[in-house]
Amino acid sequence: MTLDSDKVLLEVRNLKTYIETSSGLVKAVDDVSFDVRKGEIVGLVGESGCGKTMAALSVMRLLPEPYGKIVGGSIYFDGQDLTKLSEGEMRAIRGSKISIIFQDPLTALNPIMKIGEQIVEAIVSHQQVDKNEARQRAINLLHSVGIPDGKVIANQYPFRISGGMRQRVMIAIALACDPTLLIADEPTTNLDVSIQAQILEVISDIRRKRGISVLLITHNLGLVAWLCDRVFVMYAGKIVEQAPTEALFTNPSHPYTELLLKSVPKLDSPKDKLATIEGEVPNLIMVPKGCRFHLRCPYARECCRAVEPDLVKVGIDHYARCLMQDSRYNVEWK
Amino acid sequence: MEQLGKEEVKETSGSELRTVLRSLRRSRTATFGLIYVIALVIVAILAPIISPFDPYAQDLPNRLQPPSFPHILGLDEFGRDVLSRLIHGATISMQVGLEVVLLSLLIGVIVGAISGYYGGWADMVCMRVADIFLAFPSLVLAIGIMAVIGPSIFNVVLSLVVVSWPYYARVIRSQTITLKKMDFITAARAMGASGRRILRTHIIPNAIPPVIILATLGMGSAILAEAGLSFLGLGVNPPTPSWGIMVASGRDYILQAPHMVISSGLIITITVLAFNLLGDGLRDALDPRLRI
Amino acid sequence: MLEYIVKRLALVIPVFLGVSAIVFIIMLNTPGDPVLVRIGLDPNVSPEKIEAARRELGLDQPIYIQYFKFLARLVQGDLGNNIRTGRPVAQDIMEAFPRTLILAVTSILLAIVIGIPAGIISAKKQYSVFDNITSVGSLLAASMPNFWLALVLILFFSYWLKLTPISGYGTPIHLILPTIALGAALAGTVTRFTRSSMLEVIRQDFVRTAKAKGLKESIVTFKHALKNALIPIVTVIGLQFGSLLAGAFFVEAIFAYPGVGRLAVQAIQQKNYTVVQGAVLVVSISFVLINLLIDIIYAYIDPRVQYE
Repeated sequence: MTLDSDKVLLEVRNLKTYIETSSGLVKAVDDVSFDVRKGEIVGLVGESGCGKTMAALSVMRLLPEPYGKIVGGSIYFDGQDLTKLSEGEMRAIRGSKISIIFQDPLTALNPIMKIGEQIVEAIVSHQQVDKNEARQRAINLLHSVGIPDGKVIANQYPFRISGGMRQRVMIAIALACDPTLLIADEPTTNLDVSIQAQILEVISDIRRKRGISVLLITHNLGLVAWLCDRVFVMYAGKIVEQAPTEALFTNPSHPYTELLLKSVPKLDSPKDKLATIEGEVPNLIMVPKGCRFHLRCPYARECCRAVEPDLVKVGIDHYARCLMQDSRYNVEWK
Repeated sequence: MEQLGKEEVKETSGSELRTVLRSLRRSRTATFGLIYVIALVIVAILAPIISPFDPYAQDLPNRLQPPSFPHILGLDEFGRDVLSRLIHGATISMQVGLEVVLLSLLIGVIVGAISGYYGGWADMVCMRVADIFLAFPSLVLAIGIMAVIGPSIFNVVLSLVVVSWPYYARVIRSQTITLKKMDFITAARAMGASGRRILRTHIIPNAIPPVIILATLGMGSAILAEAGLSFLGLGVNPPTPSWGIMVASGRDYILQAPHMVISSGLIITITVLAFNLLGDGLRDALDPRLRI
Repeated sequence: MLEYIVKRLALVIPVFLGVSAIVFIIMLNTPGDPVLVRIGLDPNVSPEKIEAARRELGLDQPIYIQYFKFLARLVQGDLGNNIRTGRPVAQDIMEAFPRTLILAVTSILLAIVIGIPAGIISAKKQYSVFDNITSVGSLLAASMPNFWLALVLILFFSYWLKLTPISGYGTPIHLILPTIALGAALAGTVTRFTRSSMLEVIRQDFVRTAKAKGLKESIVTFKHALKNALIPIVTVIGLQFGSLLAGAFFVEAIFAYPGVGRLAVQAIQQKNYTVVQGAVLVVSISFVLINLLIDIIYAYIDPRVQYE
């Protein structure tokens, strides 16, 4: 699946990231491939614990040392394989070409450093700018993420401002050096519903006004529907479906995706029970044989227990990892 | 509900003990601490039996003799066997340590639990008093007290208890406050249990575990404090073989007989180290979150 | 910030009162005639003078009045007179205290200069050989009686190697061994706390953010991690300062270093109770003030504290 390098910004190929824990080796990311094209917003979706955050951290090479390691695959960005770069080269990319924002802005910001200083720091470490200009830029950045009184906020400590504002600050920091790719790991999960929409607006704006591509990591399909151009669905360390957003919602081709869609409550659906997905997220240490989803899959058959499915094409730019879609396994399914 | 509370406590303490021991065994240093402490307790209890010589028996013509057979650690300034005195010193140290810790714990538990549970002005008064005692550097206050009331084992224990109880009271108090808000307490109260009963059967048993760490480390500090006081002549009275006194007399003869000073100080160091290692091990075992 | 300082200062006053009350109560129990304690052992004093002194000192009055008089004298800087020399105790202490302060400061500096780097390295290279050795070493240092360490140091460096003076005061060389003896335990504690604090802080999200910004390793370690890790370290140094002051009693006595500690120990042996009382008071009140200073430093490092 080699893609046109002119349009592709980030290409992750067969990434394997394993984590050593006291209970065993966790295969958080087990042969995962996804890509982000220029000017796109791509969603990486899955339940908590499916490995999506680890995939994001792998791109940034920010895995928890020394337990987390990229053990295989490549990450192509801007013509380079990030997995082969030295720490110094990677540092030049972090915060300047690729930025990341995290889920909890309260813990993600240094509690005893003023906000302005945290933004200035990002600017000054990558660009030859004097302090005063950096400070002015910081205030402008705050303005651009929807914080009008930038000067006042820049002089505050993180605990003094609201959660929504903190997340905007994080975005401002991420934008400090004009990156081409922004990774957003569950950016709205910790925020009030009313604030969530505002932050999503900011992110959407970023793509629109600056042409920055976004890799959005989330478990919330609602966000995906709203923001993303394409979606990759992850389960138990593997990509189980990938498609343009509309195709994913109108023609879900993996049972997991189907169930995810069913469990999103819709305003106009009858007020009966919410569909839930039976079972628990699988143990990434003892990965089930065969299809990783078969234990929770309502359609599982004998073959699913034995064979691990490949990604199979089901439409334009649309692939699914399910034996039902694989013509080689012609069995009566539904 | 009352029964449930007791059962909860008993169940957790039974399996917890096993988990704690397992965790301790995993750390070499903590295991050393545990074995040493147990050995020390045995030595302290059996001192009169296992001590090779009478710690008070003098042999003046041979005073200050360096280590040799049969006096493995040599003789002191009165010709007394150093090893025997160290062994009996263990009894003194353990005795003082245990008494200080248990009494401070007792007072601390009572004050802390009442303070934390009832709150109000009883809490305010108790904590103000505790704060005032904590405002002193502990040993300085102990020295001040001992200077005035005179040296004796009883006085040593007394002054060290006066100085230590606030630490236990504070910890028990914050534990009590946390426990007070828990559901099983509310349930017990709903069943009409009186404050005193709740304190006795529910709160105190559940508040103890973190205090165990404090108590273990406290043994180390108490032993160190007694040694210091005795060194200054403010602790136990000679000729009682306190390790601190032995360091003091060792000092007088430091050039002629360095074995005195070295052996007595070394045993204090290793003993305190053992309690600290054990305390650390317990901390790791009881609160895995803190484990590094 | 100023508001916070004023608030903390206000809280110190009841503590002062409590401390002085306890010292007063202790001193009530000194053996011997308090009048003689107060006016000194002058054999030529007539019985009428003693009676007059008794009345003047208010020793026939109820205890709480005696306490207020004691407090009043205290506030004016009157700590009574040295029983042996008759000089005001305050004078003796004013002479001796700065020397103890010098020793205390050098000890703390030693502890910080050794402890913080050792703790940082241990944290960054967790489980390495360095880490293991440092862990045991720091605990060992914290378990050693300082009076014993002092004696061992003298035996080794002053007697056997003849590198340092056995005792005394005056030149920086005189400070070397006492500083080591006094500061070793604190160095051990600072090392352990720095290590555990750094380990905890390094795991926190904002350190990951700092790395994600592409900042240099040194900036992440010092400007972000260490500064946050310092918060509990500063607290523990404040708490341990009390042990340091107490330790000074022992170390000064052994090195014949003329500070408050030595003054107090000699006074104890000579049953010079007014001096003992004065020393305990001064040392304790300094401890209270140091803790106040620590609280202020803490609030400076961690601005969240002011808003509690």
